[in-house]
Amino acid sequence: MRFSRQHRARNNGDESILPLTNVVFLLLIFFMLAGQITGPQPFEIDPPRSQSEAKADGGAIEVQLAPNGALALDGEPIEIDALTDAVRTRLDADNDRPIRLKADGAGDATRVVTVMQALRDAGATKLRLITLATDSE
Amino acid sequence: MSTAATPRSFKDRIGTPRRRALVSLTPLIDVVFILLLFFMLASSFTNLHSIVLDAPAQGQQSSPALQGALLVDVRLDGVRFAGQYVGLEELTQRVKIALADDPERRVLVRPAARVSLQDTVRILDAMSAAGVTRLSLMDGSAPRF
Repeated sequence: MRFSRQHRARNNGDESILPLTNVVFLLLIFFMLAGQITGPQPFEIDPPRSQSEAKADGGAIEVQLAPNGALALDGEPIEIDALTDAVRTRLDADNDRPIRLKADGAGDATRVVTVMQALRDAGATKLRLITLATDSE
Repeated sequence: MSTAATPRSFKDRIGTPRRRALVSLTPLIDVVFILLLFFMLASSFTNLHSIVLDAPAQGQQSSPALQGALLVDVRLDGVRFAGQYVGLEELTQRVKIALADDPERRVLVRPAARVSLQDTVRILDAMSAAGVTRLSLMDGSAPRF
């Protein structure tokens, strides 16, 4: 007992924060590996639940659709008239780029179809509808 | 006394941490903490999946792919297939039978006004479970792709 107290008092410098540093490093590595960096979200979106097994692609153009029908392209709010041109410009650079449509599950399905048609008018061929796995609820 | 005379001994180094610390640990830990905060706030752990709704290739728009496609209407009061309201089980069965002849057959899902996306996705799921590979959403007012 006496020994341990003495020992701790002596190591009062940098030594005593080494375990803390170790833990912080471990946490850092965990968050770096396990998390996915996401861009800014313009509005709160709750994607529909689905049993679909396909993973969401990375590196895609992302179109967000709020439950009230508001649109955003890669986080920037946009009108549906301007969407076709903006997406076409992006697709010109890389024609094979997939497009992820992240729409709210409570939103109108017809609005989603309208947006999908605007995207197809822009020349999009690879379209993915983002969903959440049912067990993640 | 002996420790003071031999400054390089182990005991003495522990006793005088200032001499040993060429680079202090504290700024390093500050940076690591900031990185940790960044990754904690910027990363998301939601497990996102996706449904493939690819458009047909250009020039294929009025090809035989569209003819003979199955049309599933999603309405507020139920699902219509081939002119009658059907349950989800029956719909899956009938689509399976239709696909048995031609597995490449396209299935169009047409949501009516005010039907929520969640309900439509439920039908899309059922279609995928029935083995449909070529699935499209369709607008009720404009029958094109």
